Amino acid sequence: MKFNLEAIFNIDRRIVFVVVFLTLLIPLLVPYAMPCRPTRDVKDMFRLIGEAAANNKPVMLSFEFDPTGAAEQEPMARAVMRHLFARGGRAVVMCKSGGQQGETLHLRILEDCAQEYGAVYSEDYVYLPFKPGSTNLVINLGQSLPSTWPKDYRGNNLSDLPLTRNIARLADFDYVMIICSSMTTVIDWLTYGQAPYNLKMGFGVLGNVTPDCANYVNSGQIKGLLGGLIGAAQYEQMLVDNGIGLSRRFSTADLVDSKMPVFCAKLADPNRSGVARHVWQALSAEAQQAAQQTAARNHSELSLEDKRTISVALNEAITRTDIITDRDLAGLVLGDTTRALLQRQEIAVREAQVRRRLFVENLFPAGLAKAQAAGQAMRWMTPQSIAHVVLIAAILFGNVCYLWGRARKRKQARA
Amino acid sequence: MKKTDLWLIGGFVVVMAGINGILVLANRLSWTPAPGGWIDWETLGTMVGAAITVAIMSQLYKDNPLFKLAEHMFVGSALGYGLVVTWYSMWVNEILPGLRPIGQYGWSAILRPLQIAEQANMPQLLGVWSIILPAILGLLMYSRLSKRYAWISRIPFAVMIGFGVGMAIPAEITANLLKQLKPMMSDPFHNSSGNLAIRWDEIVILIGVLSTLFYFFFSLEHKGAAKVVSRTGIYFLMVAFGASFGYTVQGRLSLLIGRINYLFRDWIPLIP
Repeated sequence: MKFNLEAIFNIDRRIVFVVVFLTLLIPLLVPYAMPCRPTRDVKDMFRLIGEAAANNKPVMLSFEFDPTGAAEQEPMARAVMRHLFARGGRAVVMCKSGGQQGETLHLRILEDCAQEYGAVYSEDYVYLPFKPGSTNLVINLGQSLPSTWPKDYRGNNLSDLPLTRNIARLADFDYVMIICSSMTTVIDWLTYGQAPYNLKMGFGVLGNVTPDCANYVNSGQIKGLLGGLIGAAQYEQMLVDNGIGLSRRFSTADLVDSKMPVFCAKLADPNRSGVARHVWQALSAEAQQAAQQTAARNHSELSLEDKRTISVALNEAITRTDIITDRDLAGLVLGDTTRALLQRQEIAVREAQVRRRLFVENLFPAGLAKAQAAGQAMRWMTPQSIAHVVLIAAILFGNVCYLWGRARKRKQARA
Repeated sequence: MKKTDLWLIGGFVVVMAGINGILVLANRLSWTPAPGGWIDWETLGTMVGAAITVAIMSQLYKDNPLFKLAEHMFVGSALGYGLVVTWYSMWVNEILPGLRPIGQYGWSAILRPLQIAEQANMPQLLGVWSIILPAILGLLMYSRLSKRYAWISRIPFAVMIGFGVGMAIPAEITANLLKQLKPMMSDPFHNSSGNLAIRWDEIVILIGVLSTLFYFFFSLEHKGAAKVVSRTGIYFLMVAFGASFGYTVQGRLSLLIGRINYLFRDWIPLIP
């Protein structure tokens, strides 16, 4: 049989779809987070948000995305909010055009992150509901925040909320970050928000918009850029590298489902003491029953509400010296990386809390995710990278087939 | 609608209901209704979302009524949702509360807007007129629906264009021209401290900008040295298009990963 490489061009497109689908699905079944190297733009954004939080200055976040772009932009929003709340920062989050179908998603992100870090609505964050208008809203924000958005999504006057009481206009924010999907929005913000007030402004954009932002980064108009999923993954990498996980509180995300039976077995143990007893007492009778069922079966019966109760109790435990004593902490074995992180000035002030957290992690080693656990974007970069390799190989193979076919035709023509 | 289409849609609903039933019975998909109810709305939402995702993706096989049904449902619900959100965010939250001083203070709110705005603690600069004027202009837009009175819509358009041009020209020149030109004019042979250093990135950007601009300069035939510069411009354009395409592929793959994650984690719990 004569083998014809050119047949590759007549392949059924549905085969290509199946190959791409499987290339993405199979790596997702194996949980592995691909480490990545943050770019200068991501580091800039991380630094500026960290500085705003450290100086106790408010940050404005404009969520202009909806479920359509959530795969790329939700991890960005979560990473930035986690960073901000972990550092004790404050944020005014608003929903402008492009995000009208995303209000529920925005609120879920904010409430999840706030719950994880104990952030309080109206003091640490405020959400301004969707308002139509694009360019004119940016212009109005430059003039006055309260006249542009008189009320938050709960109907409170901005002048009555502790966070927004003293914020008059856009220029009062230390840093402005916009998560949006189109280049038109980026240009609107740069033209009517950044240029007149010389604001520090960063963007989180979809992958296809990222190259168009490059010239604005080069000119210094954009300070900090998260481009696509890789941008979100790099920001998560920055969180991991800077020990944000180490210094933060316990979250529901720390309670990994696959390890819940081991965790619950320790809680349900009749001889429990210390932290385990404290957490057990915080649970309702139904939640205790669910924990016992989880310990008995190899499947989590705990609802999200139960997990929240557990994370709240764990957070309380790490602040109580009667539950975790200094004597307990003295026996704690620390690794070199942890020691190095504890020597950092920003983490050193919370050393006691960090050590108590480590103690609890050691107590439930199988039940809790590591503090430095990767985020969603880092996990999703694994199938993304494999798919890229497959696509590059396919493009190269296609080119080889084309060149081979052309050479064969020339040979036939000469003959 | 053809009979086969109905069979296809009916079959799809039955298959999806069967899969969801198996998942719930096997305890792979939680069904915990709120007290007093019998529907778990969150799980039902996941089921419907999964069904619509599958229906939309079925277009990859070939065009079919399932895809069309899902597409029309998406367009209809998105438009309806957008309309309701806009109605509440503009009319209910902005315009009606802004007009409340008229009901409270009567004609005084219209005739003495500044004093009333101060009394009513309104943030708007011109009191109720800040609401009335834009609302009237907005309503005038609907005159386009009538052939006879369509000319009236030119008034709000004139206001919009006049305002837009007035705002845009200075702002655009600052943001998109002057600030963009600034890095082009920096010294590529000295670093920010003033020490002698070759800044290759600046040189590459300078060559890229000049050669790309020259490529679009058609008053001179691209021959000889001009051809070399023009060709360089093409190469820079190709690199830019390649980067843009690469990022677009990455973005599309991310969206697909998001959908796969939804189907095989939120719906069928296969992904850990």
